[in-house]
Amino acid sequence: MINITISNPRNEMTFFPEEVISGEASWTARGEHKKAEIRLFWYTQGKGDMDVEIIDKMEITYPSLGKANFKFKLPNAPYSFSGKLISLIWAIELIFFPNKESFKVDFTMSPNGQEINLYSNNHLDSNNQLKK
Amino acid sequence: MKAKDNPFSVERVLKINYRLSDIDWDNLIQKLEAQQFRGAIVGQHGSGKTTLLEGLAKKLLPLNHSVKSLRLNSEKPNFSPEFLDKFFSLLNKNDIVLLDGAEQLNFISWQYFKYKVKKAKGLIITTHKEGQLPTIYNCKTNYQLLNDILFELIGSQATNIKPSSKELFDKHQGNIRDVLREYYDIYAQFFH
Repeated sequence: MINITISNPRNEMTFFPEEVISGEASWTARGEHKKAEIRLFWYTQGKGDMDVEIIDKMEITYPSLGKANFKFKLPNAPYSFSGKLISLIWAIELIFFPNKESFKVDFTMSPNGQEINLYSNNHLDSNNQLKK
Repeated sequence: MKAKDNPFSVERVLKINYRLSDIDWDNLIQKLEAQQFRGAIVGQHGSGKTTLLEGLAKKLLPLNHSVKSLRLNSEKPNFSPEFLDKFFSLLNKNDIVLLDGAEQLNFISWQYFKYKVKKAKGLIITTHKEGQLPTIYNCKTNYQLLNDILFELIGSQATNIKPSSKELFDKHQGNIRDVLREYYDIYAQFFH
Protein backbone atom coordinates (compact mmCIF):
# COMPACT_ATOMS: atom_id res chain seq x y z
CA MET A 1 0.00 0.00 0.00
CA ILE A 2 1.31 3.44 -0.94
CA ASN A 3 -0.01 6.82 0.12
CA ILE A 4 1.05 10.42 -0.48
CA THR A 5 -0.36 13.20 1.67
CA ILE A 6 0.21 16.78 0.56
CA SER A 7 0.08 19.48 3.21
CA ASN A 8 -1.68 22.71 2.34
CA PRO A 9 -2.91 25.33 4.83
CA ARG A 10 -5.70 26.11 2.38
CA ASN A 11 -6.78 22.43 2.49
CA GLU A 12 -6.84 22.28 -1.30
CA MET A 13 -4.88 20.53 -3.99
CA THR A 14 -4.02 23.86 -5.62
CA PHE A 15 -0.79 25.77 -5.36
CA PHE A 16 0.65 29.04 -6.63
CA PRO A 17 3.86 29.32 -8.65
CA GLU A 18 7.01 29.37 -6.49
CA GLU A 19 5.10 28.15 -3.48
CA VAL A 20 6.55 25.33 -1.40
CA ILE A 21 4.79 21.97 -1.65
CA SER A 22 5.41 19.52 1.16
CA GLY A 23 3.96 16.41 2.64
CA GLU A 24 4.55 12.82 3.57
CA ALA A 25 4.79 9.59 1.59
CA SER A 26 4.16 6.26 3.29
CA TRP A 27 4.27 2.71 1.98
CA THR A 28 4.43 -0.91 2.96
CA ALA A 29 8.11 -1.77 2.72
CA ARG A 30 9.01 -4.82 0.63
CA GLY A 31 12.29 -6.59 0.05
CA GLU A 32 12.37 -5.91 -3.68
CA HIS A 33 12.42 -2.15 -3.07
CA LYS A 34 16.14 -1.39 -3.33
CA LYS A 35 15.79 2.34 -3.86
CA ALA A 36 13.02 4.91 -4.05
CA GLU A 37 12.50 8.49 -5.15
CA ILE A 38 9.88 11.15 -4.58
CA ARG A 39 9.53 13.28 -7.67
CA LEU A 40 7.94 16.62 -8.50
CA PHE A 41 6.98 16.69 -12.15
CA TRP A 42 4.42 17.73 -14.71
CA TYR A 43 3.04 15.60 -17.47
CA THR A 44 0.71 15.99 -20.39
CA GLN A 45 -2.33 13.92 -21.14
CA GLY A 46 -4.40 13.88 -24.28
CA LYS A 47 -4.19 12.77 -27.87
CA GLY A 48 -0.45 12.87 -28.47
CA ASP A 49 2.48 11.19 -26.79
CA MET A 50 2.82 12.04 -23.14
CA ASP A 51 5.44 14.66 -22.29
CA VAL A 52 7.02 14.60 -18.87
CA GLU A 53 9.43 16.90 -17.11
CA ILE A 54 10.84 16.06 -13.71
CA ILE A 55 11.44 19.34 -11.92
CA ASP A 56 12.95 18.03 -8.71
CA LYS A 57 13.41 14.76 -6.89
CA MET A 58 14.43 13.39 -3.55
CA GLU A 59 16.14 10.06 -3.12
CA ILE A 60 15.02 7.74 -0.35
CA THR A 61 18.04 5.78 0.75
CA TYR A 62 16.19 3.42 3.08
CA PRO A 63 12.87 2.31 1.55
CA SER A 64 12.56 -0.19 4.39
CA LEU A 65 11.57 2.68 6.70
CA GLY A 66 8.20 2.94 4.98
CA LYS A 67 7.86 6.70 5.38
CA ALA A 68 9.46 9.89 4.15
CA ASN A 69 8.71 13.61 4.24
CA PHE A 70 9.25 15.76 1.18
CA LYS A 71 9.47 19.45 0.40
CA PHE A 72 9.88 21.05 -3.02
CA LYS A 73 9.76 24.63 -4.26
CA LEU A 74 7.49 24.95 -7.26
CA PRO A 75 8.81 26.79 -10.31
CA ASN A 76 7.00 29.78 -11.82
CA ALA A 77 5.72 27.78 -14.82
CA PRO A 78 4.18 25.97 -16.63
CA TYR A 79 0.65 26.43 -15.30
CA SER A 80 -1.88 23.61 -15.16
CA PHE A 81 -4.20 23.81 -18.15
CA SER A 82 -6.70 21.78 -20.11
CA GLY A 83 -7.91 21.93 -23.68
CA LYS A 84 -9.51 19.39 -25.97
CA LEU A 85 -6.24 17.98 -27.25
CA ILE A 86 -3.95 18.31 -24.26
CA SER A 87 -3.92 18.82 -20.51
CA LEU A 88 -0.87 19.70 -18.43
CA ILE A 89 -0.98 18.23 -14.96
CA TRP A 90 1.35 18.64 -11.99
CA ALA A 91 2.05 15.70 -9.69
CA ILE A 92 4.06 14.28 -6.83
CA GLU A 93 5.14 10.71 -7.40
CA LEU A 94 6.76 8.01 -5.29
CA ILE A 95 8.62 5.45 -7.38
CA PHE A 96 10.52 2.32 -6.37
CA PHE A 97 13.44 0.65 -8.12
CA PRO A 98 14.18 -1.64 -9.79
CA ASN A 99 10.59 -2.68 -10.52
CA LYS A 100 9.38 0.96 -11.04
CA GLU A 101 6.25 0.46 -8.99
CA SER A 102 4.84 3.96 -8.51
CA PHE A 103 2.02 6.02 -7.09
CA LYS A 104 1.20 9.66 -7.83
CA VAL A 105 -1.03 12.43 -6.63
CA ASP A 106 -2.06 15.22 -9.01
CA PHE A 107 -2.40 18.86 -8.05
CA THR A 108 -3.03 22.20 -9.78
CA MET A 109 -0.52 25.02 -10.08
CA SER A 110 -1.45 28.43 -11.45
CA PRO A 111 -1.44 32.10 -10.35
CA ASN A 112 -5.12 31.97 -9.41
CA GLY A 113 -5.09 28.41 -8.10
CA GLN A 114 -7.31 27.17 -10.91
CA GLU A 115 -6.55 25.09 -13.93
CA ILE A 116 -6.53 27.27 -17.05
CA ASN A 117 -9.36 26.19 -19.28
CA LEU A 118 -8.44 26.61 -22.92
CA TYR A 119 -12.07 26.25 -23.94
CA SER A 120 -12.94 29.71 -22.73
CA ASN A 121 -11.45 33.04 -21.79
CA ASN A 122 -12.83 32.92 -18.26
CA HIS A 123 -9.28 32.86 -16.94
CA LEU A 124 -8.55 36.30 -18.50
CA ASP A 125 -9.60 39.72 -17.22
CA SER A 126 -10.74 42.66 -19.37
CA ASN A 127 -7.11 43.46 -20.20
CA ASN A 128 -6.52 39.90 -21.38
CA GLN A 129 -4.35 39.26 -18.35
CA LEU A 130 -4.63 36.18 -16.18
CA LYS A 131 -7.23 36.74 -13.46
CA LYS A 132 -5.89 36.70 -9.92
CA MET B 1 -14.38 17.39 -23.02
CA LYS B 2 -11.04 18.17 -21.37
CA ALA B 3 -8.09 16.16 -22.65
CA LYS B 4 -7.40 14.65 -19.23
CA ASP B 5 -11.01 13.43 -18.98
CA ASN B 6 -11.10 11.89 -22.45
CA PRO B 7 -11.31 8.09 -22.01
CA PHE B 8 -9.19 7.69 -25.15
CA SER B 9 -6.29 9.80 -23.92
CA VAL B 10 -2.89 8.22 -24.53
CA GLU B 11 -2.28 7.69 -20.80
CA ARG B 12 -5.44 5.60 -20.48
CA VAL B 13 -4.78 3.66 -23.68
CA LEU B 14 -1.21 2.87 -22.57
CA LYS B 15 -2.53 1.22 -19.41
CA ILE B 16 -4.26 -1.48 -21.43
CA ASN B 17 -2.34 -4.72 -21.24
CA TYR B 18 -1.71 -6.72 -24.36
CA ARG B 19 -4.11 -9.61 -24.82
CA LEU B 20 -2.20 -12.68 -26.00
CA SER B 21 -4.06 -15.25 -28.05
CA ASP B 22 -3.16 -18.94 -28.48
CA ILE B 23 -0.40 -18.63 -25.87
CA ASP B 24 0.03 -17.33 -22.34
CA TRP B 25 2.84 -15.23 -20.89
CA ASP B 26 4.65 -18.16 -19.28
CA ASN B 27 4.73 -20.11 -22.53
CA LEU B 28 5.78 -17.04 -24.49
CA ILE B 29 8.75 -16.52 -22.19
CA GLN B 30 9.62 -20.22 -22.39
CA LYS B 31 9.54 -19.91 -26.18
CA LEU B 32 11.89 -16.95 -25.93
CA GLU B 33 14.24 -18.83 -23.63
CA ALA B 34 14.36 -21.67 -26.15
CA GLN B 35 15.45 -19.12 -28.77
CA GLN B 36 18.11 -17.60 -26.48
CA PHE B 37 15.88 -14.53 -26.07
CA ARG B 38 16.23 -13.60 -29.71
CA GLY B 39 13.13 -13.03 -31.75
CA ALA B 40 10.71 -10.65 -33.40
CA ILE B 41 7.21 -9.47 -32.60
CA VAL B 42 5.66 -8.93 -36.01
CA GLY B 43 2.54 -6.99 -36.93
CA GLN B 44 1.01 -4.17 -38.95
CA HIS B 45 0.69 -0.57 -37.79
CA GLY B 46 -1.48 -0.24 -34.70
CA SER B 47 -1.65 -3.97 -33.96
CA GLY B 48 -0.18 -3.72 -30.45
CA LYS B 49 3.47 -4.60 -31.00
CA THR B 50 4.75 -1.87 -28.68
CA THR B 51 2.16 -2.77 -26.06
CA LEU B 52 3.23 -6.41 -26.22
CA LEU B 53 6.92 -5.50 -26.01
CA GLU B 54 6.27 -3.33 -22.96
CA GLY B 55 4.26 -6.13 -21.38
CA LEU B 56 7.13 -8.50 -22.02
CA ALA B 57 9.56 -6.12 -20.30
CA LYS B 58 7.33 -6.10 -17.21
CA LYS B 59 7.33 -9.91 -17.18
CA LEU B 60 11.10 -10.21 -17.67
CA LEU B 61 12.12 -7.79 -14.91
CA PRO B 62 10.75 -9.81 -11.95
CA LEU B 63 12.56 -12.86 -13.36
CA ASN B 64 15.82 -10.98 -12.72
CA HIS B 65 16.51 -10.25 -16.35
CA SER B 66 18.21 -6.95 -17.13
CA VAL B 67 16.22 -5.15 -19.82
CA LYS B 68 17.48 -2.32 -22.03
CA SER B 69 14.76 -0.68 -24.11
CA LEU B 70 15.19 1.33 -27.29
CA ARG B 71 12.62 2.84 -29.58
CA LEU B 72 12.60 4.01 -33.18
CA ASN B 73 9.71 5.41 -35.18
CA SER B 74 9.05 7.42 -38.30
CA GLU B 75 9.85 10.67 -36.47
CA LYS B 76 13.07 9.27 -35.05
CA PRO B 77 14.17 6.54 -37.48
CA ASN B 78 17.77 6.10 -36.30
CA PHE B 79 20.15 6.52 -33.40
CA SER B 80 23.09 8.90 -33.38
CA PRO B 81 26.52 7.24 -33.60
CA GLU B 82 27.43 8.78 -30.23
CA PHE B 83 24.38 7.30 -28.58
CA LEU B 84 24.99 3.86 -30.08
CA ASP B 85 28.67 3.87 -29.07
CA LYS B 86 27.74 4.59 -25.48
CA PHE B 87 24.87 2.10 -25.51
CA PHE B 88 26.97 -0.74 -26.86
CA SER B 89 29.88 0.03 -24.51
CA LEU B 90 27.59 -0.32 -21.50
CA LEU B 91 25.89 -3.48 -22.78
CA ASN B 92 26.81 -6.70 -21.01
CA LYS B 93 26.01 -10.41 -21.25
CA ASN B 94 23.14 -10.14 -18.77
CA ASP B 95 21.19 -7.57 -20.79
CA ILE B 96 18.21 -8.31 -22.99
CA VAL B 97 17.79 -5.53 -25.56
CA LEU B 98 14.24 -4.63 -26.56
CA LEU B 99 14.22 -2.67 -29.80
CA ASP B 100 10.86 -1.24 -30.79
CA GLY B 101 10.67 -0.25 -34.44
CA ALA B 102 13.49 -2.31 -35.92
CA GLU B 103 11.99 -1.88 -39.39
CA GLN B 104 13.22 1.74 -39.32
CA LEU B 105 16.84 0.61 -39.60
CA ASN B 106 18.21 0.17 -43.11
CA PHE B 107 19.95 -3.07 -44.02
CA ILE B 108 23.46 -1.99 -43.01
CA SER B 109 22.37 -0.31 -39.79
CA TRP B 110 20.37 -3.38 -38.85
CA GLN B 111 23.28 -5.77 -39.52
CA TYR B 112 25.60 -3.52 -37.49
CA PHE B 113 23.13 -3.31 -34.62
CA LYS B 114 22.60 -7.08 -34.60
CA TYR B 115 26.37 -7.66 -34.60
CA LYS B 116 27.03 -5.26 -31.72
CA VAL B 117 24.23 -6.76 -29.64
CA LYS B 118 25.63 -10.29 -29.99
CA LYS B 119 27.38 -10.00 -26.65
CA ALA B 120 24.07 -9.34 -24.90
CA LYS B 121 21.85 -12.06 -23.47
CA GLY B 122 19.14 -11.40 -26.03
CA LEU B 123 17.52 -9.14 -28.60
CA ILE B 124 13.77 -8.84 -29.03
CA ILE B 125 12.44 -6.52 -31.69
CA THR B 126 9.18 -5.28 -33.07
CA THR B 127 8.88 -5.04 -36.80
CA HIS B 128 6.32 -4.90 -39.58
CA LYS B 129 7.60 -7.81 -41.60
CA GLU B 130 9.04 -11.21 -40.87
CA GLY B 131 12.67 -11.98 -41.60
CA GLN B 132 14.84 -9.82 -39.35
CA LEU B 133 14.76 -12.36 -36.53
CA PRO B 134 12.73 -15.55 -35.93
CA THR B 135 9.13 -14.61 -35.22
CA ILE B 136 8.07 -15.24 -31.67
CA TYR B 137 4.62 -13.69 -31.95
CA ASN B 138 2.42 -12.32 -34.68
CA CYS B 139 0.20 -9.44 -33.57
CA LYS B 140 -3.17 -9.56 -35.25
CA THR B 141 -6.25 -7.43 -34.75
CA ASN B 142 -9.92 -8.25 -35.05
CA TYR B 143 -13.33 -6.82 -34.13
CA GLN B 144 -13.45 -8.71 -30.84
CA LEU B 145 -10.10 -7.35 -29.73
CA LEU B 146 -11.22 -3.80 -30.50
CA ASN B 147 -14.49 -4.35 -28.64
CA ASP B 148 -12.64 -5.71 -25.62
CA ILE B 149 -10.42 -2.63 -25.57
CA LEU B 150 -13.41 -0.31 -25.92
CA PHE B 151 -15.16 -2.03 -23.02
CA GLU B 152 -12.07 -1.57 -20.90
CA LEU B 153 -11.94 2.14 -21.76
CA ILE B 154 -15.61 3.16 -21.73
CA GLY B 155 -17.52 0.22 -20.28
CA SER B 156 -21.05 -0.39 -21.49
CA GLN B 157 -20.96 2.75 -23.69
CA ALA B 158 -18.96 0.58 -26.09
CA THR B 159 -22.16 -1.23 -27.08
CA ASN B 160 -23.80 1.87 -28.55
CA ILE B 161 -20.81 3.91 -29.60
CA LYS B 162 -21.19 5.83 -32.87
CA PRO B 163 -19.69 5.28 -35.33
CA SER B 164 -19.64 1.60 -34.53
CA SER B 165 -16.40 -0.19 -33.75
CA LYS B 166 -16.87 -2.35 -36.84
CA GLU B 167 -17.23 0.71 -39.03
CA LEU B 168 -14.04 2.30 -37.75
CA PHE B 169 -12.13 -0.99 -37.69
CA ASP B 170 -12.89 -1.45 -41.39
CA LYS B 171 -12.17 2.21 -42.16
CA HIS B 172 -8.72 1.98 -40.58
CA GLN B 173 -8.05 -1.52 -41.92
CA GLY B 174 -7.46 -3.05 -38.55
CA ASN B 175 -5.18 -0.32 -37.21
CA ILE B 176 -6.54 -0.16 -33.67
CA ARG B 177 -4.31 2.76 -32.71
CA ASP B 178 -5.92 4.91 -35.42
CA VAL B 179 -9.40 3.75 -34.40
CA LEU B 180 -8.73 4.84 -30.82
CA ARG B 181 -7.40 8.20 -32.06
CA GLU B 182 -10.57 8.79 -34.04
CA TYR B 183 -12.68 7.97 -30.99
CA TYR B 184 -10.56 10.47 -29.06
CA ASP B 185 -11.50 13.18 -31.55
CA ILE B 186 -15.18 12.22 -31.42
CA TYR B 187 -15.25 12.39 -27.63
CA ALA B 188 -13.28 15.65 -27.61
CA GLN B 189 -15.70 17.24 -30.05
CA PHE B 190 -19.09 15.96 -28.96
CA PHE B 191 -18.89 15.02 -25.30
CA HIS B 192 -18.75 17.42 -22.35
